[in-house]
Amino acid sequence: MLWLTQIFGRLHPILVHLPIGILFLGFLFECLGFYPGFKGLRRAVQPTIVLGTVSAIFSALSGYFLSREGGYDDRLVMLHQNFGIATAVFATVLCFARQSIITRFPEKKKRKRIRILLFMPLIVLVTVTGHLGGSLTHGEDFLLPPPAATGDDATPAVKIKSIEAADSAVLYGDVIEPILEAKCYSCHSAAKQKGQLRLDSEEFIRKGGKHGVVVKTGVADSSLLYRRLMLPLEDEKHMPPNEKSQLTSSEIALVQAWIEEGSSFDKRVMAFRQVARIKGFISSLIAPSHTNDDIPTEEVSPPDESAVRALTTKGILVVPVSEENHYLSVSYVNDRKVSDADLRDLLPLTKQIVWLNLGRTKITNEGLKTVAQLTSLRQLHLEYTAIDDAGVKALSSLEQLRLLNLVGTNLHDEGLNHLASLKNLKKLFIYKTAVTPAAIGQFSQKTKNVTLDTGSYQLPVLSSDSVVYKRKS
Amino acid sequence: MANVPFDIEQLKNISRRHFLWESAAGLGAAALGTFLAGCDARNAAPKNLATATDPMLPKPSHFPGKAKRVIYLHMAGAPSQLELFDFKPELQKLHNQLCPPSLLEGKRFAFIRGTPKMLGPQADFKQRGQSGAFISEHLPHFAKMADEVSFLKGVYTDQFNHAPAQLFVHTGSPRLGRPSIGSWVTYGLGSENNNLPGFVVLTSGGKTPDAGKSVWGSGFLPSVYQGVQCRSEGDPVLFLSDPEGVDRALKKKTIDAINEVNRQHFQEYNDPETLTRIAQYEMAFRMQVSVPEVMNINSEPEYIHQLYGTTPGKASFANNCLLARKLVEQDVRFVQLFDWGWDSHGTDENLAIDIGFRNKCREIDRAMTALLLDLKQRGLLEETLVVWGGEFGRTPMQENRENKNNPFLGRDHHVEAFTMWMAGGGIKQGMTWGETDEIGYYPINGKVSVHDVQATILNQLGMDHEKLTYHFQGRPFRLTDVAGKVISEIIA
Repeated sequence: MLWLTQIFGRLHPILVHLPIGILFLGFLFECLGFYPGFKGLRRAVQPTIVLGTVSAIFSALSGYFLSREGGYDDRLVMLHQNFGIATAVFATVLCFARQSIITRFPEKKKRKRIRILLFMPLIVLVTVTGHLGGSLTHGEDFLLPPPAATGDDATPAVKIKSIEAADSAVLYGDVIEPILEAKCYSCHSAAKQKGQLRLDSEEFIRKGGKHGVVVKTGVADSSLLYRRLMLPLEDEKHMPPNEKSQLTSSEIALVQAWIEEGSSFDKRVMAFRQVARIKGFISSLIAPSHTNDDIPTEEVSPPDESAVRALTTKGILVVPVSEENHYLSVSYVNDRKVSDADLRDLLPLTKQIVWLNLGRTKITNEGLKTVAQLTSLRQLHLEYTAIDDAGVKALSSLEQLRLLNLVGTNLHDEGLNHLASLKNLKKLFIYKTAVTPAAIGQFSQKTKNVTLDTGSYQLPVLSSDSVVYKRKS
Repeated sequence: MANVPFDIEQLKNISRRHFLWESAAGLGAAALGTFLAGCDARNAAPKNLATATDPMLPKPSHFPGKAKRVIYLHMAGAPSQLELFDFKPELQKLHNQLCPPSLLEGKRFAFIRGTPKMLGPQADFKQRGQSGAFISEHLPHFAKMADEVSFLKGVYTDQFNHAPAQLFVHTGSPRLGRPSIGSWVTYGLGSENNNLPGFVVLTSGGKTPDAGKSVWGSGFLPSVYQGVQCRSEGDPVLFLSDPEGVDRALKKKTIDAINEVNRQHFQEYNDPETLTRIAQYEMAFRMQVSVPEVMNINSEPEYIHQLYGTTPGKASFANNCLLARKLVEQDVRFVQLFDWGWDSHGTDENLAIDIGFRNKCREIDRAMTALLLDLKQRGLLEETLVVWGGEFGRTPMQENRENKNNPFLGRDHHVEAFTMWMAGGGIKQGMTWGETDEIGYYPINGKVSVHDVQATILNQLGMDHEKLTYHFQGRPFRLTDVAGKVISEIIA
């Protein structure tokens, strides 16, 4: 008989929809019945309530059997159960007492009010019970997610930001735990313990669940925590269940590596034998940054068309950086003879121009005074131009600048010093300039965030460079 | 003439053929117009002649891209991943043992017949750089680049012959007729430098790719988008100088006159190929000046020649790497390099995995490393995506052509797993994505398809591979056909 009650219990998630639907329908009939056109519906109210009551009783019963299987947060289950029973009881009372109560109020207006009043508690009970049930199956933060989690993708919340950070990271705490949290906690933590398993602390993981130990140190293949992940998706025992968000292949490989190398809870990534492999997987989990720092995030108004046309008719390229916004990229690649005065054509587009390529043009320090007014600039290419330190000094007004290419210019130590004030600068290219190593050292001290490339790379001459392999005779 | 109601001269131009063509096209256009209305604006007819006459005009990308240009290094013939990047010590233990039947059942190989023997790695490996990526000692210079690039170790294809496999990698289809990736990119983004072609192809001399020029063809896209192959020896483009007695002014007049006629023709018939012709005449005229400048490596300083290992005047991969840098420096959108001789079957000395293959490695090692370094120091690597790969990989088994051992050690074509790498243009540094099983036969993690690689290249340029389409024969086509997923794991 046990199996029968079990099946009955598992029908609960279907059955619960009946009382919710039917009782709400009864309430609708009751309200509509007040209007002359729907007068006939009044007669349907009582049978609807009876039907709703019967389904409510069956739902409550099946719910009781389901709760005996366990695996849910006890506090929530108790609350849901009590409200469920209350709903069924109140509905039953309403079935029998409704008619006699109503007939006690002969006055038409009062009768109307009492009909609604009788229904209200039932509607409230059904709503609360339904919500609690929803919280049990989908998690408490399903309907109203906590503010911190909004906007987050389904991708795991691995905290590591870069490969360098991976060096000091603890594999369990910084990588495995966030994975478990994102993909397993919804059924295996304080709120729910499917298969009597909790994965939200070292102690619980060591303890295992209904089927015993889940982590067999050193042997991933015989650890349930790994094996269940590897079962085919269609397999009933595959974890996470088919319909839930799955672990990516990198995440699975990390779990495997963690178990194989001792399932330690405090071992650092660097201490693992397969450290390169693990770092590769961790790195693959770091989602691409969707924000492109080279373009402002705020909106900008469309550029002045006549100003754009003034430039394009001269052969200057003015192209939006993408179809998504109005920011502009301007390039003088087809007009390298541009004079310093001509650059003033750019000024009406100050708000829109974020990338400017003046590389290999005839501009001089004088022209940079105009460029310095283009305060939205994020990328500036000045390579192989005749500018020098005096010109570069003017650029300190470009506070938004992220990338500056000064390859092959007359930049000296003094000019480099001026650039230290650019707060947002990330990349600076000064190959083929007269800057001295001492000045570079000072600059790097002051500006920790700037990647400075001085170039002059060379490759050694190796003996193997000239070996020609031939068949051995 | 103008007073005559029917312009006799114009009517004379309309032959029976034109009449039929126009009426058919007119009817078709009327019917198609409704279908086309909702399709991609890139595909719609140009609005006015000013923009119409320059199909290469730069266009905004779908979303902001990290890369602005691409250099694609293709090693035609397919280099062995097992001697370069995919280190398999277990395979060494199985060396000379017979291949288990489970690896052969239901498989078809280009040359392997019967039961071949396993062939252990014919190279020594070391872990390199901070990332600890394995790179073999055949590439001593490139080994220093381990922390610059992202390796894709689980690339697979479904074509085991060179020509279809090369077409697949470059056009997204193993059959002829589709546009190549460089054509799609210039079609989608245009090209910035109007003195140079947007899509340039350089081959290292020797053999051209088996699939022929279709690997840089424009397929059904207007032919202005096809790759322009520059000669690897002597003059990069033939007949650059004007014939005696013709000066540049006269040449300009001639071309202007021809183009005026072509423009009239375009206004009458609206054939995009006419635009191609106009653009090509103008481009050729400008290239007379720009090409000798950019394609001449003689003027490069000595330390650059030392860096790349270049010998001016000789056709070589190294020269082409240097040229590729010079071209992207001039904002050429897509530079495609083809090297050859990587088909290490073991049928002769040059194709032996332990002889000729090592010579090939030496030829590319310094040059491709120099390319990365040179792009980096000039600030170009930031916005230039560099892609390296072959059309498939090579088997962990030793090739036994016609069930007999080849005279030299060699490997057959392998479609299940091979290695590619990408660098620059918003790709993670020091990343390895994907791994193969213990003998390098199948990917067990991070398996990516040729279409995935193509989707990723377009993504780095700011293009959605599902949106970059061209309407042809009644439906929109795209580079990745109906597949392709951006490999987000290697994107910074």
